[in-house]
Amino acid sequence: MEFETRLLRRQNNRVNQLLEVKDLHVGYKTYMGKLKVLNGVDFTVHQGEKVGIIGESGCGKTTTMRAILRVLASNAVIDGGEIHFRGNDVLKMGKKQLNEMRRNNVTMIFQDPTAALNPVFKVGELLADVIKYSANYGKEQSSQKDIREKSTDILKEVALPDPERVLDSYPFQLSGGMRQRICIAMSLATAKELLIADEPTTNLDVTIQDQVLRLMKNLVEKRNLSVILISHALGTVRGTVDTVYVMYAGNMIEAAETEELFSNPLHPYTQGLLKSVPKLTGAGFSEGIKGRVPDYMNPPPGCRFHTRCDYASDICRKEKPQLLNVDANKHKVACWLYGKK
Amino acid sequence: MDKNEDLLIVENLTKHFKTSFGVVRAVDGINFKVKPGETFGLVGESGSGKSTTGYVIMGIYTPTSGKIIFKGKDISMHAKKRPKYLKKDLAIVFQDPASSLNPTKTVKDVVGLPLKVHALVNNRDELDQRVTELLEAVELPPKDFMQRRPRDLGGGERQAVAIARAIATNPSFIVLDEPTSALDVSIQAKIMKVLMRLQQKLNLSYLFITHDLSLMRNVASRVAIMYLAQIVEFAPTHMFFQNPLHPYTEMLLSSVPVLTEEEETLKPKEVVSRGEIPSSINPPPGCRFHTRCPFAMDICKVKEPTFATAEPGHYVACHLMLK
Amino acid sequence: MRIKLLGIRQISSRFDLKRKWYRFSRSPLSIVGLVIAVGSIILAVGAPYIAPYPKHAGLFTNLLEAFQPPSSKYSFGTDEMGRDVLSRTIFGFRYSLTMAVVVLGLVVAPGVITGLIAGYYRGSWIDTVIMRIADVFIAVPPLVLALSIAAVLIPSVFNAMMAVSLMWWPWYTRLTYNIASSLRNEYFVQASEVIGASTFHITFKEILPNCLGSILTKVTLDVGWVILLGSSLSFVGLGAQPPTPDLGTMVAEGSKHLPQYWWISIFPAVAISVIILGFNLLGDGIRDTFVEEAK
Repeated sequence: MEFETRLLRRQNNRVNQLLEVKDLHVGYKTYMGKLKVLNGVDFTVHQGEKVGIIGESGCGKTTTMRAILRVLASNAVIDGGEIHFRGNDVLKMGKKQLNEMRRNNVTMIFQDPTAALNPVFKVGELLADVIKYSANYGKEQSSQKDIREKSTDILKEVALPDPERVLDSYPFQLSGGMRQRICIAMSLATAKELLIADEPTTNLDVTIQDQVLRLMKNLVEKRNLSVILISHALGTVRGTVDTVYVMYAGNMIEAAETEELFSNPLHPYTQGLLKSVPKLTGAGFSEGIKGRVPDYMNPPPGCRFHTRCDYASDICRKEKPQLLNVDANKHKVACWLYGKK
Repeated sequence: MDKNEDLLIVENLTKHFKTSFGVVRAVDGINFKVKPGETFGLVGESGSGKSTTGYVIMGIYTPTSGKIIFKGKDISMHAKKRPKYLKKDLAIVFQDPASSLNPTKTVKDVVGLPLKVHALVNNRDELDQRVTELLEAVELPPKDFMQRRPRDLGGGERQAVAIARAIATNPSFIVLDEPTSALDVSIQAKIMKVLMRLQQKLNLSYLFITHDLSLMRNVASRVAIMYLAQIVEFAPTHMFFQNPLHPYTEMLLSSVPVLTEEEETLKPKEVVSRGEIPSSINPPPGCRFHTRCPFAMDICKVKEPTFATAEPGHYVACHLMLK
Repeated sequence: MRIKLLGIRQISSRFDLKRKWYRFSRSPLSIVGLVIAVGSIILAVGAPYIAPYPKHAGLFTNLLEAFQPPSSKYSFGTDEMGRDVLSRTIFGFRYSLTMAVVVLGLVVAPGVITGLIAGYYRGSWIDTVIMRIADVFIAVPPLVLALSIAAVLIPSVFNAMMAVSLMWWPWYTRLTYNIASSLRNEYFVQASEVIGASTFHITFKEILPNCLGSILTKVTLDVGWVILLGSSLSFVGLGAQPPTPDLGTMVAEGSKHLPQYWWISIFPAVAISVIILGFNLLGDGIRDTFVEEAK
């Protein structure tokens, strides 16, 4: 029954593509040359969909997210590709449009809640800023009392005990879990459509991680948000999202519904990755994945994984495989093993 | 050393730090033993005192009270006061690969340091040879890596260098403080494989400290769970995961993110995580977990529980058990 | 213990010079600084061979040609004694840089060593004693201290150098202390302690190499400051005495004849500025190189 509802929702949403990234190429200029990080990233988020992106450090997950919000570093160059949000071309947006998108549509939570909160302001002041900035912009004024009330409501929504005391505290007086909850509160203080969470629980203790993730799931359900959840911890993603993309060296190399991906990984990298995760069943350790992450200054031609792949063939060394459907829209893979020319 | 004799005995170990906010009770009276060739796992979250325990054993901190007995000798003092020959026998691998290697030194310098300090090599050629052997043992091709500096190495490679440094003096005991927490999953697997192979080959004992229970399941023969400076449960690994008894242990296990349905069935469902970890400066009275425990009774708020034996080798400090 | 003859290649790889040069040479201003600094050193070392009238640098009188404006014969003109200002300025480089070398040579080692020790024993009485003594010296304004000392002793270049040295060392103590104490609890230092390395090894072979970048930067920037301080002392008559062609003395002597015979003061003054600018740019470049290294 649940599967049918999901399928229906998906069919309805097929038209409602909230975010589409097509063939995105991003590089970073350094004095030694250009780091060609993103090598043609393709992914889509539908309305109401929760997408997870898993990949190891340096694969380009954060770069992709920053590109979507257009907050890349100053030495970054977008070499090609398109990003469409609600049909609008993000890469061609002017400042005003961009700001609107950031204010009203898309929001982001970061990995380190301590770094994301300005330490010299009390939580109340930080929240007030967020509320004022979006509500006031061309609309009605809110009095101090209103703002305080709204702030308290928001904190209650993220299950923070004793909101009054929290509002009057500085971030350093609160624990990591509480800080992350405040970041979540701040990002959802006003209505949004898309939430991007970049490793939101990686820095937290395991028991707190669980609490924060459950909270996020609740809020997402309640507000029918679309989510992009990024993590290198595979288990975190599994419990939270509908669709999973696997990223390697600047490419999306596999995408499928969550259970499908974890029970039937197709790409050799995904297989190696899943085997590397230690299991509670006590099966011991795998050998990992041989080789090293490629050097973005001189990335390997063709498929960027071929240098580490046991199944690499000639075509893998020459041509980059596209992310293609292998199972009627349920499972996509970018690998020459599945989709010869 | 006799296989049945304990390599390391920790008796009532306590470590308090005086800070401007008060006395931080990092470790408060813990007891355990490690046998030769085994991996003893210490699990806990932040504030549990697990890393501090490792540091006190290594002599980075002086114990406030209690004893550490290594191969029959009392070493409950700061490393500076310990005899030099002992320092060959204990080693540590730190959590953060970035700061555990001096950025101005080459890999050869780093791995060669213990060899020079303990005069285990007589000349430059012997040093080269021994460093080559050590790098090979941690699966880093010596020719490529000898002259590199830490900034040119990835996290996994830095940890491999740290491990090579740790085994350089042929120690019997290594403290591994979250050695793979900062690493990607595929690299973690590689490093763990290296550690397991080395343990076999060199008959090493490990004190393995981590917060990752899935990792611990595959590495330790016995596990102790720490909460707020105390050990709350203690068991051989298989017993521990089959039959977790302390509510905190259950809370930890139920929070573990797993990948397969099979693993899901192994997780206890009854205790869902709640509450925050209290401060180490003012731990709650009685059982320190009572503020978060769904089964807390009146006695838990007042009296500290003592260890009860659930099954041979399996000890729990919980009033539920003592009933 | 064998003494190894270090070839250029070994030094280059020991200190990773190739990569450092790569980073350093990115900034054109750093190169400018380097050129000026090297140029100043060449002038200083080769003064007797480069100056057109080397004898004018000492006791020399030619009143017939006194107060000549800049011409083809005397590019910077002549001063009140008929001496070639250009030659004297070139020799002025020699005096200024000598002072910088002597002072910094005297000051860096004691300052760094005390800072390392205080940093390693941070929190103990050793730290307190060393740093409070350093604080005392730092608290007194440099010029005031140097003036007082120089005024008590007989004015001379040597005494000026001693005076400046005495109040300069604690800055190196403080700089090194800051770095050493912050590194004190890093894992790699604790690893060395646990391995059993001696305190000497840890402070000088583990911690010190991490301080070198900052120390080198400070030394380079200090060349300018020391020269400025020395010139100021000479300007008020407490450093080099006439006829020594110290740049500060020359500015002082020449100031009596401003604005009519401007070249006597202005050229030495510009020379002082150029040296300071050059070493400052070089110092900035070095700092940027080492900051990149740390990343």
